[in-house]
Amino acid sequence: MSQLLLNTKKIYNWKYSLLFLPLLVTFLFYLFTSLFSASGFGSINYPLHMLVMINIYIILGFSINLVTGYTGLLSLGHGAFYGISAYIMVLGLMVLKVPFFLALILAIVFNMAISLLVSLPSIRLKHDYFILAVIAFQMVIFTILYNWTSVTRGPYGIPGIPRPDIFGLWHVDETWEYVVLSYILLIIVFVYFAKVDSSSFGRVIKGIRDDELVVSSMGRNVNLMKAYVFAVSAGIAAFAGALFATSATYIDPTSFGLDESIFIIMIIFIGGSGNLKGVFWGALFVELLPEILRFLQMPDAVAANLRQIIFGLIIIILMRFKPTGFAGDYDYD
Amino acid sequence: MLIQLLVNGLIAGSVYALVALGFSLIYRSTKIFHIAHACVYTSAAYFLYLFHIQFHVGLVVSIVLSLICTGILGILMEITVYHPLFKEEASSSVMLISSIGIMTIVVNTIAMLWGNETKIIVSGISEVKKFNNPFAGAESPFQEIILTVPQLYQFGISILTILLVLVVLKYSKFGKKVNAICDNDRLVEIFGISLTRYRIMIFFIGSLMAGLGSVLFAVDVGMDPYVGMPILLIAAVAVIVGGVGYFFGAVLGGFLMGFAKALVVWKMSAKWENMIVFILLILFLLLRPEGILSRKKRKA
Repeated sequence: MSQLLLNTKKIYNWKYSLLFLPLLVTFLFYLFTSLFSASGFGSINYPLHMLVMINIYIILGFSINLVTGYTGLLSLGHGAFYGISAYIMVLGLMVLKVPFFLALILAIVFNMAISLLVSLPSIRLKHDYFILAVIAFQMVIFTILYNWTSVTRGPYGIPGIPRPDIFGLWHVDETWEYVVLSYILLIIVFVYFAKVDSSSFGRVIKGIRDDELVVSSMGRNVNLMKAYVFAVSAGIAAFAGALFATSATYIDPTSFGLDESIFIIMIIFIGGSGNLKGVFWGALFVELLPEILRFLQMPDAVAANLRQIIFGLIIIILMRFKPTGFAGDYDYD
Repeated sequence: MLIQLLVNGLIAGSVYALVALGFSLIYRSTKIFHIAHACVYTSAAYFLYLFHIQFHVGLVVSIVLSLICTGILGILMEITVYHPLFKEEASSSVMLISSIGIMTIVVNTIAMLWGNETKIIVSGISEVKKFNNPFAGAESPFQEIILTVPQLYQFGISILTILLVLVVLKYSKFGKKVNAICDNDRLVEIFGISLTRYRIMIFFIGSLMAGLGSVLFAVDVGMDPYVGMPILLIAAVAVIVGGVGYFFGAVLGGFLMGFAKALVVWKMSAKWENMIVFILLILFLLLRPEGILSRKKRKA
């Protein structure tokens, strides 16, 4: 109780203002592109949709930040968790016909269970082996989603995913309502991270990242901690999967392949990991770069590849001169 | 049927073994988990396309030219990206992340220049050779093993190259130095061997082997910009399953992957054939993480 009273002295913590960053940057971007384009002010729906995608990638960035930035395990398999949760949402909403939040909880629990399946055998392995095992997991999940056509409809994808209905009170349908929903989920994730960042648990997992031996000599079960972190991270990825499935209303396995995993991990390579702010900058950058290329009248066929080439170049240059990324704490050493 | 599939597995396995040996060479000596090996593999096929289809050079000459270009590409990666990091004693994670960056750049450049669709080097149906099947029963419908000519080339060239490389690594002076670099590269430097030069040579040879495997497959089935990643993963799994401590382990693992895929095609369906590779990896990591061939290590 006294702890609580002490904390209330600090009424507003400045790190929470990071949450306004996506909103602000999207608004500025909209203003800027409208002022400098011939067609003038376009529909607000497109920037709002962009904002939803940015929030989804911030959530994914946090999910992978916990594993890679805080605990030091490179994971090239978060596209799989993202995909599994999207498909479980479909199962919950369309087959079992449960409410949105129940389906979300189902997806979280399922993701955590699946994550144990991959982390428990591979977590005690050497660094490179762990990475390969997670890539292998990613490929297995992709193959299942793609080829198990009787359940997932494979490459045809699943259309007509219903819009979420929150407790029968709020039918989320318009794009701005999605912005609100994505913000609610983002705030849940962010508050959890703000707690982890300044808690003893956060310091322990950062200790695992920096020197595993020291942490285990302090009497912590390192492998158990790693498996736990991996499970929580998979659970957070489920938030993003749920948002994506219901906002796009159509999913197919190609959105959840190894490319997607690499794209997700690029968020923290570019933005930086091991703290709260890096993810925001990374997600904003990877989501806004294609919009900037489109603004510069780049043809779409070239822009998709050019964007990836720019990411690759940035990563190589950053790793050479500033491995922490633009705003990170962890230098992958 | 089974014999036919096993022979196919053996042939595919020989190419996997070739790529895996190249990967193992780089991984063991430089300790880089060289994911960009995937794009080295892909670019070899596209160099071949460039020379043979677009510049109308003869097939054999363009294969040689594309292999040289692939080797140079590998050297470029080492000089521009890995070596500065190596000099700064960057961690293996940083190397791996840079490698992902290289792969993204090269694959997307290829996709930008040549498009995403599948390209074919040799059109038409390839010539077929038939062999008697000694294991078929009298009433079996599969009395003959049918192989295409490109498959025979794949097998022959891969096996010869693998043998050559293994012999060179085992018996020549160069091979002994490479083995020494695998064990302890800093110590090798003390003995006056230029690590810079040897790393360049290692990258050249490793990339050459990936390129050779790629070219052999490309002549048979064509290519697209994303063909490298599955092969790289098979190669990496082969290296780990075979045993990281030995060059021969990669070869063994490569053949095992070929057979495993053939068995899956026989028992289940071709669409699950990539999955068995990763299930094998997980099984090995669980039960025998040191690989088939293992060296008893004294604890430090």
